[in-house]
Amino acid sequence: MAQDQRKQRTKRSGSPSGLTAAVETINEQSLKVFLWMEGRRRNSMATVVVPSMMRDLTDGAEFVTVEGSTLKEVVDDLDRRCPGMKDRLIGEDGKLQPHIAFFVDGVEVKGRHGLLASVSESAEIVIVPALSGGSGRALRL
Amino acid sequence: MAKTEYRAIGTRSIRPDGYGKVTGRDQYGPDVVLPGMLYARVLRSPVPHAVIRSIDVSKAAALEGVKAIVTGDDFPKIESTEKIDSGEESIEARFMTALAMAQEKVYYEGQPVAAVAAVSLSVAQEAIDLIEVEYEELPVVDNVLDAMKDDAPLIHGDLYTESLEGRGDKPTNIAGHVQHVRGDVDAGFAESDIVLERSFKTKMVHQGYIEPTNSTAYWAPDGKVTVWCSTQGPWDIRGQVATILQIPVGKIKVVPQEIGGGFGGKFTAYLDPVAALLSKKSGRPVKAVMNRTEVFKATGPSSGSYIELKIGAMQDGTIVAAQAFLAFEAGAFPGSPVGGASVTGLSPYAIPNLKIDGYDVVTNQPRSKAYRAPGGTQAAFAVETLLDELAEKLDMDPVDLRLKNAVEPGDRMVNGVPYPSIGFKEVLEAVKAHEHYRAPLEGRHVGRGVAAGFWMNGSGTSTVHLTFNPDGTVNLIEGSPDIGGSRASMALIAAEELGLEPEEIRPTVTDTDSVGHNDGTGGSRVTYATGTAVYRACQNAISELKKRAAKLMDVDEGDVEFVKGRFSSKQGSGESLDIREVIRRLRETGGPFEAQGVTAGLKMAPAFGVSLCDVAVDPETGKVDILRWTQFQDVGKAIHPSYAEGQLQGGAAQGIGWGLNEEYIYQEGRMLNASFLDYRMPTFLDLPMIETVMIEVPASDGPYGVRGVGEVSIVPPPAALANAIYRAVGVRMQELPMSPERVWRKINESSAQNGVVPQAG
Repeated sequence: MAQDQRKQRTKRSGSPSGLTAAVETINEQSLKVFLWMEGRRRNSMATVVVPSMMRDLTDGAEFVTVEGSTLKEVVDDLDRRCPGMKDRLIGEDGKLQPHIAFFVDGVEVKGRHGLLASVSESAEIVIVPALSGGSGRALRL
Repeated sequence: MAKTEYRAIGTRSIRPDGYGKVTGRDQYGPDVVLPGMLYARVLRSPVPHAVIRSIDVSKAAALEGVKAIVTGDDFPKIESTEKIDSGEESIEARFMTALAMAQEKVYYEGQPVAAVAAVSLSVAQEAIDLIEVEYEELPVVDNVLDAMKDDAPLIHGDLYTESLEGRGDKPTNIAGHVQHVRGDVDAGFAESDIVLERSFKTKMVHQGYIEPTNSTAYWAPDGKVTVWCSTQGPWDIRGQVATILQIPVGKIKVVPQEIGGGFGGKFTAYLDPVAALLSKKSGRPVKAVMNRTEVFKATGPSSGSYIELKIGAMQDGTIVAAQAFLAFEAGAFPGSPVGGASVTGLSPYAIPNLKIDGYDVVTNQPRSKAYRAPGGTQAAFAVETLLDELAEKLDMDPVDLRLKNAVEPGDRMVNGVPYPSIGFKEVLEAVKAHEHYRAPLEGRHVGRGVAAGFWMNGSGTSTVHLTFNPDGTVNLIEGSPDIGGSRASMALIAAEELGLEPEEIRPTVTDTDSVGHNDGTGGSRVTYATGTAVYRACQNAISELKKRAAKLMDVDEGDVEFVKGRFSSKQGSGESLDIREVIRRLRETGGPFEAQGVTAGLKMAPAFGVSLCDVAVDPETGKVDILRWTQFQDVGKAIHPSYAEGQLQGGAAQGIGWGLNEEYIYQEGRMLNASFLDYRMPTFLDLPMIETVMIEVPASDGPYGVRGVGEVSIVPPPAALANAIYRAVGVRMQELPMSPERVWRKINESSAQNGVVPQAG
């Protein structure tokens, strides 16, 4: 099922609208490079490390591979692959839940960039349970 | 590639604020005096849990000299459950006001119920004594184990357990549950050659900062509020005051004063909103300063805890499984450091199978706050004493046992986050190689103990501005309150990069209106994150100064290079300009400019430390005397070695106090020892010279390989002391503090069981 969803997403994520017009004036080689990079960006696969208390949504898996170039896209794709994730990660106000932190390639992003944080190709995103005490904004573990 | 030889970094320069400190001329929070200023006193609840039936302020209001009175009714009622940053931790908005002023209920002894501003402190004190409060007392829960019982009185009727599984379905005192699982812990224990299981208790302790909590506020007629206070987090205070008083942050300016210690405990707006509202009512500035009893009862100590720990290992010392249950006293409102404890205790070791459950539990005690490596000390007390016992059972050297299992870069912390560059093994090797570790112990009932500690260290956001003076000197404007000598470190970084002398850099810690956002001074983050901002500001300054130098030398900007404080032409024209000359002539080259450096999002730069101590125990009294202490730590790069060493020594001293004497003693929710006479902190008479050994394993991110040094040194001392006591008199201490009475009782229990007084190890 996850594979099917990924194909659908890949299919949906073809050339962005307006892209063709924008590149008509550049040469063919540049176009190929641009499309290759855009394709890599859009088809990047990140790995999410899932904490134990959320593995009931992943059939026990600790690692889940997802697509997305921002944390929001990653969460959306994670929810597609593992339904129910979004409800656990995002509050009713649309913000990240207060008792959760994200580390993207070793850098904590919660509270600073939040859902708009960039996720690089092949990034590793660790979801960390974060009780508030003794580990606030500067250090939320 | 990072430089490895420096001209300023690593030197022991005179601290820029040294004169004010040693002459007493610096202005700390309680020193603030403003024209027309009033003095405030706060009436505090004598009962730990009650409904406030009524507050009658009429007699106080009639007293001559009283200018304003506030109670909970004067504060906005906040229902929001949004988490508000409070420095190293956060707190739900709905609970925040209660730390400044009770509304309807009191949850702990010492909680504020009213405040008075008067023309003098004595009048204010007389006035609060005239306020009559009627309480309807409620059942009290003052320790974590009682609070977790199924039939425990509920402190809040609407508190549910939060966890990654969602929200609990019934009200409880267990506010939060955090869990970390790796591998199959049951299979790991089944596979183990040896399994040890013990339980541990620690008591609530206070940071013990010398300068009491304070605030002076002025609410101007135009609605702008200025707060002068000593705080670790001016921006945190601003945000909390805004939330509690429901006014925009843009109307609040926080002016940090010199600070007489914080250690995690000076991030919270206890007095600031009270002083501000009293100022609004009176139209005059109002100063409020706690006395020591108020500091103990009404600010935020670190949690007491109950920990169960089970470790399984193979005969060769390989740890294959570990399981921990941690329950922490949050105090009246959720937010104990059990999250940090759950991560730090077992993360130093590469254990394939583990399960950790941490519980945040509310009690009728003051709401806990961060204290230097929050949660780390409690967790390490359990882990590091059990490892010592494991080493003994396996007949292994305790450092070898740790080396065999120590994490390396790329291993994961228990929460799954991979380690960047770390130096745990290097620290352990340094311990083994140190003369102290091999020195003979002489005398009866003496023992040597060793224990390790880990802290993640923070980074966060920092903003720094550089401006330039016509005499060639540089102003360094920062927003990180200087608690441990950070002005000196910032000056050294700027001097290093700009090719100036440290004395030519003028660091100033400014207010929230005058520099961009800065997270607070906590989480061992300032030298790392603010230092990185200084480094970046210098690079930006050099970039602009190159343009100015190019004009002065009449060469293309691209031809200018900057080496060791001089700008010169790459073309080899021979002309070069000292940076001071370029700064002096800014008016000729386009006028003044300002360089900014911002840090937001560095990788973690975790710290590991080890305590090594020798003790002598008097079996007849249980008193523990420390004979020798050496503190080891990976500091990444010591920017100012004296202040890095000071952090190691200070953390060790506080850890010794935590280990041997300090505790909140409660009776039905009432603290019995709320003074420095009865709350026994160590003095210099209790401590030997604390030797330090700094190991420099560069961090992965930031300049020079620097990593924070402020916190981890408090983590291992209690465990090291417990291990030393065991080797001195043969008893395993599993409860803090290891006061003479507890050690004496343990010795006597052991004697009763074994029929002999334990002998020296």
